[in-house]
Amino acid sequence: MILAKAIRDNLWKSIACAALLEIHLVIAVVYFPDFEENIEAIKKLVPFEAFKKTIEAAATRGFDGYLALQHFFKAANTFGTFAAVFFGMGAVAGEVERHTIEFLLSRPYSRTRILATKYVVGALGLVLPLLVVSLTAIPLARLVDEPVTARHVLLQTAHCSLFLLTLYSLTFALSAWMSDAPRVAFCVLGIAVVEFSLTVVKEAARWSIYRLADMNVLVEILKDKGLPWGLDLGLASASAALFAVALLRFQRRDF
Amino acid sequence: MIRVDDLRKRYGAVAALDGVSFEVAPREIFGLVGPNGAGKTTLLKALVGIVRPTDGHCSIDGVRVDERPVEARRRAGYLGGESRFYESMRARVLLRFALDGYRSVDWALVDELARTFALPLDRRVRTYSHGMKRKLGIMTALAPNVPVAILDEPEEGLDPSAKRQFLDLLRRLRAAGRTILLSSHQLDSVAAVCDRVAFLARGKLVDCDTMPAIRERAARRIRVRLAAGSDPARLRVEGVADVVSRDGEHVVVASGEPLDVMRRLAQLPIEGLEFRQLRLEEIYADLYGIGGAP
Repeated sequence: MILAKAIRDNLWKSIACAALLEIHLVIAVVYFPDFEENIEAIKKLVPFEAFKKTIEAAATRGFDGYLALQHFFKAANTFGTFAAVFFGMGAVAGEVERHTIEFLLSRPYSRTRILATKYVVGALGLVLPLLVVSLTAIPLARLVDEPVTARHVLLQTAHCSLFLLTLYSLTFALSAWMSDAPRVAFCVLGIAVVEFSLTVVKEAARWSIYRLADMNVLVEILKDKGLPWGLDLGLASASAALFAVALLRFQRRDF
Repeated sequence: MIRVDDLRKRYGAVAALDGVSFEVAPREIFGLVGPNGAGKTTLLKALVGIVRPTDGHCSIDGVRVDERPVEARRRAGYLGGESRFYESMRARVLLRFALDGYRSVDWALVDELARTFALPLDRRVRTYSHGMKRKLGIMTALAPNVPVAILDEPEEGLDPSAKRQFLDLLRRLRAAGRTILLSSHQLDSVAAVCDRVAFLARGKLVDCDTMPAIRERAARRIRVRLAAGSDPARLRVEGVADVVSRDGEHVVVASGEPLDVMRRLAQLPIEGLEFRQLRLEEIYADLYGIGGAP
């Protein structure tokens, strides 16, 4: 029943997330011929050097590069950040805020099982829409007569998922610590905004976490170099560590 | 069936529980009373592992809560005083959620209580009134076929008729072998249904006794209003064990026959003298002088 409830809690969020990503993807694909035709004008319009380079990187890789820019770099990183916060913020803090935590913890389940169920269902709720929507890019590309490499789509999805999972795990850990879900969201989104703004500051860009899923990383995947294993192992380890922190806190916390 | 052993819980400098020990026997309804902040809720939460004691331990049906919390919870139905339910769920789904995980559930009792309490189980919990939610909570705590029920302020929000039905249900469950630990501010209900009562104050167990013993002690207490200017020390006549003074009133505790003591007190300059069966809350306030009736 805990699993069923967790799925019910996350299902509509996942559907909404998938719908937003899909709408964005369809618009982006349909816009591709215009983008290709007006690439020079677009580059001139872009205000920051960092973004100019991002667009150049995308333009040199054809439709695959454009898809990486629009779907993975832009949509997955922005919608995905909000989604990661949305999926993680209420895990524990929401239960405390709504005063349902006492009812939940008095059921005959271990705290580990309760938290792990919430974490896994939330994580799947976050990454499955990205995977499903990314796969629809393959048939959608036919709308503009462009080929898409399924392997690239899957590898980019895997990498972006790991990046978003790290943000989700950070939110989840804070949720296990705090008693106010909006405050959790405020903290993580605050960090995300600062980190994203660093990407446009040349001198500070290397300190931004969004560099871990920017066009440079995605283009490397498009060059058939496979997943950036070192980076992805680091992201996976960070997620695991943050979940461990959440679990430790949840197990020791009084409610 | 329930054992609490030198239980302590500190929140910083505040001791919410300060060395509380007691046992609840099988088939016993055990009442826990005390003013707000006495530690009742903390104690009940510790019994199901929601709060981790700083020291000491407790067990349910022989299972240590700190060592095997899930197994301990499997042996106890619990209704929290502060807990709320998932408002978007239908009551029937919420009951399934609440009762999942127990080895056995008395679904016949669920149906019976739904009828008795007139709860429409197909409605969402958010459409329920406060009293209806409380009734639903009682169902979640009493429907599992477990040896123990732990109830924190179960009657809060219940109307008089539902309250009577609830007390009858407790008696029935006790007869069927259930052990019940009940925390309540409704002292009339505690007096009506509990076999033993424990008094908590500032995290300590002030007293714990059977209802007949408490009534017997109360029967030795005489309230006296002295005439203005009279010295309360004069109340210590022969046969008086103690005098407790509060708010201008004096309670004389008789060590001998209360009627003899009353005759002697009547010789003093008094304005009034009262000797009657005290209610539990009066006993509570008089006996322990721990902040008035709850």
